[in-house]
Amino acid sequence: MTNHTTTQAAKKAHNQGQIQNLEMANFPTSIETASARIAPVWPLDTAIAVNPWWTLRDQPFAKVSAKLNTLGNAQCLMPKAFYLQHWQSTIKPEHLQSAADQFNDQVQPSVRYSVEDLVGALTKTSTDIGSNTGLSNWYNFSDLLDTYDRSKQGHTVTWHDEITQQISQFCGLYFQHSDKITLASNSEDLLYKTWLDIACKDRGIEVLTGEKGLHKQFLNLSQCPKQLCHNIEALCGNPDNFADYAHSLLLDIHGWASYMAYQAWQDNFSDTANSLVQQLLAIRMAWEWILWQHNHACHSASFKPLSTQFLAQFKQLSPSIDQQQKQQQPLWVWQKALEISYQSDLNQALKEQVKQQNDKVKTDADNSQNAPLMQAAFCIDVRSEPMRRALEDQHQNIETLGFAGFFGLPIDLAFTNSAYRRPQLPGLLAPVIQVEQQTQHSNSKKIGARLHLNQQQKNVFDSAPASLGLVEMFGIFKIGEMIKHNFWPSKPQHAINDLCDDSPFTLSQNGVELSLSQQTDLAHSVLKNLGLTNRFAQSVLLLGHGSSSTNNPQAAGLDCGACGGQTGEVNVKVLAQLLNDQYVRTALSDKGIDIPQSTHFYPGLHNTTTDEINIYGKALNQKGQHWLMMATQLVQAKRATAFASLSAKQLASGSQNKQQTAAFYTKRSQDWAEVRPEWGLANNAAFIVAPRKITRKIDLQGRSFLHDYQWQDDHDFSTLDLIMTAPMIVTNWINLQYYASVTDNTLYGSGNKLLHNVVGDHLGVFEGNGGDLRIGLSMQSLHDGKDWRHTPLRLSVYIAAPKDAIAHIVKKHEAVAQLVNNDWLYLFQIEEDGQINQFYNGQWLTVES
Amino acid sequence: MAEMLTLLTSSFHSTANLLINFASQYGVIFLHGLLLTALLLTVMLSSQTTARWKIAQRLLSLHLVASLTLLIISFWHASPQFNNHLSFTPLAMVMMTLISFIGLIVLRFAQQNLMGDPDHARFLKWYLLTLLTVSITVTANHLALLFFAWMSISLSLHNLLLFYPQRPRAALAAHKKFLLARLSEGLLLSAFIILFWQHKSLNIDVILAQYSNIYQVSLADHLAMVMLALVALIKCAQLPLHGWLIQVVEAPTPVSALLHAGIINLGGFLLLLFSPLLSLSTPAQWLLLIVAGISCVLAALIMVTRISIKVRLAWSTVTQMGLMLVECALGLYEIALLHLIAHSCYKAHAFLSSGNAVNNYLGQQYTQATKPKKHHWLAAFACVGLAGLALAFALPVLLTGSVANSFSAPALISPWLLIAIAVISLLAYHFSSPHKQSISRAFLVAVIGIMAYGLLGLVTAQIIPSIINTQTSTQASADTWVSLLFIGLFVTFLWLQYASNSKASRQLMIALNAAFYLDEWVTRITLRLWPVALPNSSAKTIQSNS
Repeated sequence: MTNHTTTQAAKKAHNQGQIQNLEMANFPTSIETASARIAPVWPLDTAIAVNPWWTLRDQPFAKVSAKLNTLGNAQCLMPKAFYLQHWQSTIKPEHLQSAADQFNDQVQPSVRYSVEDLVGALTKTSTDIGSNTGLSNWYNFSDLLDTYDRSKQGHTVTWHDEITQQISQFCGLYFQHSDKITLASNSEDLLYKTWLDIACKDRGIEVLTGEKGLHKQFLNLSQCPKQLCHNIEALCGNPDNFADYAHSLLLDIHGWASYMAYQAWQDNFSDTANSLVQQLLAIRMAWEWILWQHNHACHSASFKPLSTQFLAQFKQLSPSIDQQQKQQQPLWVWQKALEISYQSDLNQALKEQVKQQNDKVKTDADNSQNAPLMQAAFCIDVRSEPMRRALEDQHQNIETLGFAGFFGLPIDLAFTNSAYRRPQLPGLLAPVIQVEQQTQHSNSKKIGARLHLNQQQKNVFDSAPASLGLVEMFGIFKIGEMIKHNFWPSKPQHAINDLCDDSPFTLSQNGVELSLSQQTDLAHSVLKNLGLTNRFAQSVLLLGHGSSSTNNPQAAGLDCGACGGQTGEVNVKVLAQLLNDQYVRTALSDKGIDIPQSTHFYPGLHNTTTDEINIYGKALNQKGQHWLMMATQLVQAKRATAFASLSAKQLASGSQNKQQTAAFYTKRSQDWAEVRPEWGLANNAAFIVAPRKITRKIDLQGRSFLHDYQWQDDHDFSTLDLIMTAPMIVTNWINLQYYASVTDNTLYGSGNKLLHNVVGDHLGVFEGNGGDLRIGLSMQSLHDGKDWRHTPLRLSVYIAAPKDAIAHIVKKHEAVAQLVNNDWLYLFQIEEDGQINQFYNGQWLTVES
Repeated sequence: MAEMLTLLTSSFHSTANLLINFASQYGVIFLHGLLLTALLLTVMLSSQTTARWKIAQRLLSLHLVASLTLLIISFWHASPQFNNHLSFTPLAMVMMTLISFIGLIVLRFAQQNLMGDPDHARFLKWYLLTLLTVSITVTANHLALLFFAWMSISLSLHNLLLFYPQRPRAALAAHKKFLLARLSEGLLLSAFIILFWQHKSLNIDVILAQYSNIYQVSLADHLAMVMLALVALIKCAQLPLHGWLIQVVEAPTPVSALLHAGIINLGGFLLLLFSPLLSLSTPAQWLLLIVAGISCVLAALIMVTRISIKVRLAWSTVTQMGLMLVECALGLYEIALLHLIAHSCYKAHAFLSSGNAVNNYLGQQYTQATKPKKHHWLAAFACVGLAGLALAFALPVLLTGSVANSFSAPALISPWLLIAIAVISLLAYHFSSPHKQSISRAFLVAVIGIMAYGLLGLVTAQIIPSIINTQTSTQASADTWVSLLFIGLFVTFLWLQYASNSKASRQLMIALNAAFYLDEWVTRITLRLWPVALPNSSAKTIQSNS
């Protein structure tokens, strides 16, 4: 574009800016498109893992990667050095060869990679592969100003950082003090209008940057965010890829955009319109507009070349992205090779186990008729797997099951004396049933009372004038608290969980208590989906899971994602209550599920930080307790290696050290300075949907989500449909949250925990004193200071079910098909004879091993 | 048998005396030696990660025990030591014990917090050096020693504030702090030169002794004290030079805890140390009353608008330090010391437990605690009013003789006003709770608080040498000014809370949110005077992977 047309476009846009009070009805389509590209992120108190690319799943991962890299310098791959480090040790030549073959066959027949090419691509320092040099990234107008001549601009903090800071602080204020600062109007564009009002009164930016006249530009801004976006689109000459520019702007303020996308996600459950992300984008665009106008007016010499350069980018963008994708290709082959290196061992093991099982069935036909001694149902969480194996090791007739940790109960926890509600189900769903403990033990009541008293005390300390005198009067008492925290730490406290006790829950829907038949239906569907309809053991353990840590703002992220970032305690207690109920059992037997009188369901919680299992209510028999204790010790000893680089003493597995080992984990959960209470779901890599007998003998090293599934019992494949549309998506969200937090901790992770600074009490964290709201996992959750604790691998899903059934479900659900076909996960089928096949783009491919 | 016993007791006595003498001769040196040993061992044991921290922890624990012991001894055997270069006074020792305690707590926290951080050794080194310089500062009885120790604190702390040097905002904040520190050191040096020139001595106790029985000081003395007051204002991050303190939450949590609990309050210590001179210098008092008084009120209001926990805590420090300086200016040195200690403990705890914010939020969500209503406030006012009247009659009877003399608070209104506001709020908030126990609890807490305050006030009054030659005429007007500030703060705060939908209160919120652009101006001027190249973190220009 020439200078002439640039100025013309600018002039035209300027004229349009004059017609300010024109209220537009809608945002431009491009704005809606860009806003829809932001995945939601949940606040800290209900934090669950989210795939940050969920909203981009309609395109191939490699394409998304190239685009995000060009638009916002996002990294969807590890750096070259990482793959090089794994070359020969983890990634063997055959893995790389296999990845290259697949690439050559499937992706791009025009370019063919050999192993030598690929190794060369990593070692070469030249510009042609995988590096950024020579590629043109997208620059927002503010970025161009940053790159121009910074000393001439008279400030040293970049526009990029300054704008992020200003918007971020405003967003915090908006959500934290909405009662005090929002305009008293019911406008649908309240976020934007409040921002504009405050920005017009704020001369701080002009003072700080020394840009005279900058403030005036705020006064000239359109009152209508929609109008503003239309104006800017026109100013850029209505390019086809305007949405990409908008997307790039959103990436500058990605954390807050994600939080607002969460608000929209919640409103979507109730069909309420929500345009927060669009308004945020308008605010970011307003900044572009202001800088554009300001430079146009005050720095015309530099404005001309900069504006020309800026507008010219729209034409270059698409080729740039293609170029970037080409450059990244070899790294994608390496990434795939890394994934194949993991899969090939697992494939081999699964194949062997299936064969063994088949042989066993032939020789020992009635083995499965033996009633199990104990059954324990766990969450599919990767941390359950080592515990399940340890428990099974105690006796061959102990059976364990894997199921989503909320056990299929779509519940909301409520309290008698409070309006507080807590969803206990995956974020994809809205709660239906409310559960509440109406008669609580005196101890829980006491805890509730203390909460009330402490809260008032905290509030009065937070009130500025009182705090002056109160600090003088009470500050000294903190000595005791600090000594206690430091030398005699106590059990981690949780305001809400500590209120739950063993008293019965009342289940209700829309304020009406559930009838017996409704309760029976609920119990029936859970048992059916669990695959637990006959062969009940005397003791059936229903085990949720939760973590325990102290002084940890991201604690919810370690809890059960299927329970909405809470522990599974409430869900297992409610389920056990249903299944132990005599009337429900009688009604269930009418529906064909006979639970023996002698069978009791024990609710319990697997503490993933300490690996202890706590059974609620009625005590488990001696033998059962012993098994649980032994399993705990086994897992604790095994996990010790993961902390080797962090623990002062090498935790040995000898018997004399068992207590020491247990104390080591207890301390992690209680220490107020601990930033790595546990590794959470780090290193997750696979999701296996199959009967447990196939995986029982394989050491999956806590890397695999396990869902029990017997396709022969699922006549209409409705259970499989459920598994592939709910747990499989949840595991994909977890998997890619970890993946993204490793490949790009700046954009998708929350950085250094030592700098975490909680925003708005629960909205999220800042790293340090400001900047964008940070999402995702902290470095401490992923890295031990020496090495990554999580290897970013896309999820490998294995399903033991007929090909047709799987293919049918993939075809039926667009989201599932997108995940499979656009390389967001691998979908494998385990055949009856142990052969592994991959489903990709509607084709079944045989996996060689 | 009886002889044996007398012999034993006498030998015990003589041993004890010997020990006490020894302690009062070499105690302070011993404490510094402990910290120095810890520092040297840490540097030497470069290969042993855990051993290093363990040694530091052991030596610091010993340091704390020794400090406490010496604190008790210092009440009876206060004496200058080491050629009169170090002071062994209750004030020095109470500061030492405080630093030792905070130092140990934060060290233990940091050890776990930084485990796995590749740079934790660097942290430990600068941390111990900072502790050492602070403890030398509080025990210095020599102008040159005090100056160099004072300067080393900020030089050493600079390395902790820039623990992550690649963060641009950390760099900008540290840069501002660096320049301000040099400015304040220039002032400190000038003040010390004047003092030396005036009194021909470098020993602080000698200099201060000369003020004990005079009622007028020279212009040079006024100038020196004004400079010292400026140093204190800068050290305590008072407006408009507060920006760096807010922005250094870019450093790890333990650094913030140390800074806010153990270093920032040294401004107050400086004034306490030079209290005999401050009491005689009306210009310095009014400088403090105006700058720190306004800072205290504004920062308290600005804090309300802040959105993140650590930033709120930093603003709270500005407020609390403002109050401490005002108390010094009012001549309420024992209350200022009490405030210094109480605030240290409060703020260290608040920073270290700042991760608990989400859990606190859940508690808030469960209880849905609301603001007190009008009748709650009225009831609270009535209770405090009645109690105040009763006390006003009873106190002169209760406090007689030496106790009344050493506890100078009754003479002024403002400290009582402060406590009254605190107790009124405490009662009002508790009255508004739906929980039935909360009313009795409110009174219990209030009584405990007041008793703790009174007792501690009596203790700190023993630590501060009493100053009799205070000018009461300025005190009265100062007291009025401070009382007005407190009332203004209370009323404005309530107005912001309860009239939040009025246009004017919204305007004030916005202005407070912008913090009156004070820091923006300071930053701009700083960068104009002394530009700095900040590390560039713009997402577009730097590869995020490493």
